[in-house]
Amino acid sequence: MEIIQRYEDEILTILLKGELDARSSIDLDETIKVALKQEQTRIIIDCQHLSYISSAGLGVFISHLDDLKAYGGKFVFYGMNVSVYNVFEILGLHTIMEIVRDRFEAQTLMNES
Amino acid sequence: MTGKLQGSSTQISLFLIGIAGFACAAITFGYYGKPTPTDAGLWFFYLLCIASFFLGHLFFLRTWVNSRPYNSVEDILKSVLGFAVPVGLLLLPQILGISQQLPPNTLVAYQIAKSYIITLYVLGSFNLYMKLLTLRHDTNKFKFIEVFYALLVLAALYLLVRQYMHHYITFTFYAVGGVGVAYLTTRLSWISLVRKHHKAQLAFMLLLINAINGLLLYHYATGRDALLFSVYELPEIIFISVIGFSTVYALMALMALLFYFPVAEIVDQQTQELEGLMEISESARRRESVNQVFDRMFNASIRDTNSYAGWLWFKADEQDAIVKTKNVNLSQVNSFRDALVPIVYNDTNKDVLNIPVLLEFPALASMCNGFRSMLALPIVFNKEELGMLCLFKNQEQGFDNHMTNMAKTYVNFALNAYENHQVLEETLRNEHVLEEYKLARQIQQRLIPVTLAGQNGWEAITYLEPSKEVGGDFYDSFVLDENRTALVIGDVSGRGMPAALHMAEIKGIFQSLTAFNLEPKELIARANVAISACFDKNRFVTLIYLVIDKKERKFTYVRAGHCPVLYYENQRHEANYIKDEGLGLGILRSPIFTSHVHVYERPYQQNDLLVLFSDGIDEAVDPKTKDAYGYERLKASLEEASRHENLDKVMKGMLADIKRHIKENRELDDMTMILLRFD
Repeated sequence: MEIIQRYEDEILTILLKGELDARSSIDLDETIKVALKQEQTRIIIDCQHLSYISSAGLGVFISHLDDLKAYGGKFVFYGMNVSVYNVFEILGLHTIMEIVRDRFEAQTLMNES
Repeated sequence: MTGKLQGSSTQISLFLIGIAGFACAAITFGYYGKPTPTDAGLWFFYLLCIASFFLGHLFFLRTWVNSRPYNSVEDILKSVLGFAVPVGLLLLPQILGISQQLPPNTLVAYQIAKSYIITLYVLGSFNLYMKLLTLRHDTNKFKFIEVFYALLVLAALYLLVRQYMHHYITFTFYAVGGVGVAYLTTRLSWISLVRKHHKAQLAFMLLLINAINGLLLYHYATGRDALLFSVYELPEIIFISVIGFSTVYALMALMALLFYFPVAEIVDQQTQELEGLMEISESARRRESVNQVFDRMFNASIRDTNSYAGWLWFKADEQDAIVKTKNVNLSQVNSFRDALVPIVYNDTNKDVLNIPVLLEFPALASMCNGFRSMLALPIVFNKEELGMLCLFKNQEQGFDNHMTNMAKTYVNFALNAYENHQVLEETLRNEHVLEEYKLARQIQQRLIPVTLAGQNGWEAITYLEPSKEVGGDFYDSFVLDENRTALVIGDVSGRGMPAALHMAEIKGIFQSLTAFNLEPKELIARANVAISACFDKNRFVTLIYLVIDKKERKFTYVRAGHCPVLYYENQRHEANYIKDEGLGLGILRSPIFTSHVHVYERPYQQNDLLVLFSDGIDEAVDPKTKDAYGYERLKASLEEASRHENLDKVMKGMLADIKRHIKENRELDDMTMILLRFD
C-alpha cells in the first residue's frame, strides 16, 4: 500500500495505491490524524488505484467521520472501482459518505460546502 | 556371577601351578643344592619347575591385576609399591651383610623366600605397568601386549630346550625381546592424565620404586648371595623382558614425569578452562536460572584468570540487573560502570578493554583499592549492550592474550545460555497463549448454538468456521412467541480475539433486546446505541435481524450493512439476492442512524430456501488466481444444490463448491452460513 498526500487549494488529497489491509490501515489512520491536527479537514480520497479495502480500512474512515464533521470538513471519495464500491454499498456507507466518479466532481463537491 | 566364579577359579589354578612349580624347585634346591646341567634329568625337572612357576604366576598376576578396578595412575603405582617394599626389606639384610652370618638352614629359607618375593614383584609390576599402558584406552588397541605375553610363554618354554639350540636362535629371541621392551618403554601417554596436585606424590612413588629396582640390580650384578635361581638360569629374553622392562619403565616414567612438570601446568590450566566452560554450559542445560549461569561464569572467570577482584553487571531484563562482586564493593561497581561504559562502548567497537597499567589512568585508578591491572569485557547481546565483566589484579601486566580470550569465551558461553533461556521462556509464553486461545475457542463455541432454537415451521442448518481460534462472526436465534422466531447473523469487523470479545458483547445485547418484544426498527436502533457506547470508533458490526412469522407465512428483516439475503424460490427454481438498503451498526453513532434503518417484509412459500452468510464466504479467494468466490458462484451453487431433498445435503453441496474454489487456502476470513427451509 502506498499513501501519497498532496495539499493544494486548502484541500488535502490522499492517494491510495494498492490494498488497504489491516496493516496499512494503521498508516492511513496516522496520516489522517496528522492532517486533523494541522486542521486539514477537507480531504479527498483518490481511490483510482485502490484495489481492495478491508473492514479495518473502512474503520479508519468511519472513525474520523464525526471529527471531520465537527471541524466543518468531510471526506470525498472518487475513482472507486466496482468491487471497492460494492463494499461501501453493502455496508450502507454510500448513504452517509460522499462518493463521486472523478476528481472534478470531487473538487466541485468539496467547494460547494 | 558365573563369569566371576570362572575368573576366580582360573586365578586359583594359575596360582596353584605357579606355587607347585616353586615348591618343587625349592625342595630340589633344599635337598640337592642348585642343580647343574651335568645332571640332565634333575636339571630338566628343575627348569620345568621354574618355567611353570614363572608362567603360572605371570598369568595369575595378570588376571589379578585385570580384575581390580584401577582408575588412576596413583592406584596402579601404589600396587607396584606394595610389591616393591617387601623386596626392599628382604634385600636389606643382604646389603648390610647380615645374611652371611645366618645359620645354613635359615639362610636357605631366606634365599627361598627372597626368590619368591622378588619374582612376585617382577611379575606383578610387569603386569601393573601393562595395565598402566592401557589405562583409559580400549584394550583392543594394544594387540602388541598380547604378542608380548605370547613371546614370554615361548621364552619360558625355550628355557627347557635352550641347551640344545644354536646360540643364533637365542640371539634372535634376545633381539626381538629388546625391540619389544624398547617399544613398550616409550608408551608413557598416561603421564598426561596426571593432575598437578598428584605430581609430587607420583614422583615420590616412582623414586622409591626406582631405588628398590636399583637395589635389585645391584644385588644381581654383584651376585653376592645365591638365589634359588639366578637370572642367568632364565634365558636372557625373560630377564630383559620382565626385569629389564620393569626397571627401565619405572625409570622412564620418573624422567618423563619430571620433564612433564612444566607442561602439566599448561595442560592443567586448559583442563580447568574446559571444566569452567562445561560448568557454564552444564548449568544452562540444567535450566538453571540466568542468575546461576552468570554466577558460574563470574566465578570461573575470576578463578581461571587468577584475578584478585572483579565484578559483573548484567541487565537480564527490564526490571533488575544481575550484580556479582569479589573484593569490590557495590558502590564501586556503579562508579566503575559509569566511568567505563563510555570508554568501552564508544571506543570503536572494542570487544575488550585490557589496561595493563592502571596507574596510567588516574581516573580509574583512583576508584580501585590499589589494583594494578584491569580487564573489562562488555557483554553485548543482539547488538544491545547488556552488561560488563571487569577483572582486577594486584600486579601490572596481569592479563595476557590467553586469559583475555578465555574470559571472552566464558562471557560468550554465558550469553549463549542466556539466549537459550530467552528462547525457552518465549516458547513457554507462546504455549501459554495458545492454551488460552484454545479455551477462548471452547467458550466461543458454547456462545454460538449448533442448532438454532425455535425451528417451528422451518428448519435450518448452520456452519461457522473462524479463521483463527476465535473470530468475530456469530449467529443466534430467539423465540419471540409461539409463531415468531428472531434470527440474527453478524460479523464484527476485524479478526481474532478483539473481534471475538465484541461478538460476545453483541450476543448479550441481542439476548436482552429481544426480550422486550420491540419492533425490528426500534430494536436495531437500540442495538446501535448499545454498540456505539462500547465499541472502538473504528470498529463496527454488520448484521441481519430477521423475524419469521409462521402464522402469517412471512419474514420481516433489517439488513444492517451485512451481506444480502440469498433467497431461493422453489416454484421458479431460481435464487436471487434481495437488494435493499441498510447501514452497519456502530458507524453512525447518533440518533440520525434511525433514518438509515429499513425494515423489509416478504412472504414465503413452502420449500423456499433462505441463505444468510458472512463476507468470509463471498470473499474467499482462490490462492492462485486471487479470484474471490463471489455472489454469483454462491447463487449458482445454491440453485444446483437445491435439487437435494435433504437439507443437510444442500448445505454439503454448497460447502463443497466453496472448498473446491479456495483449495488449500489458509488465509481466510471467518466463514459463516445459515441455510433455512420453510415448511
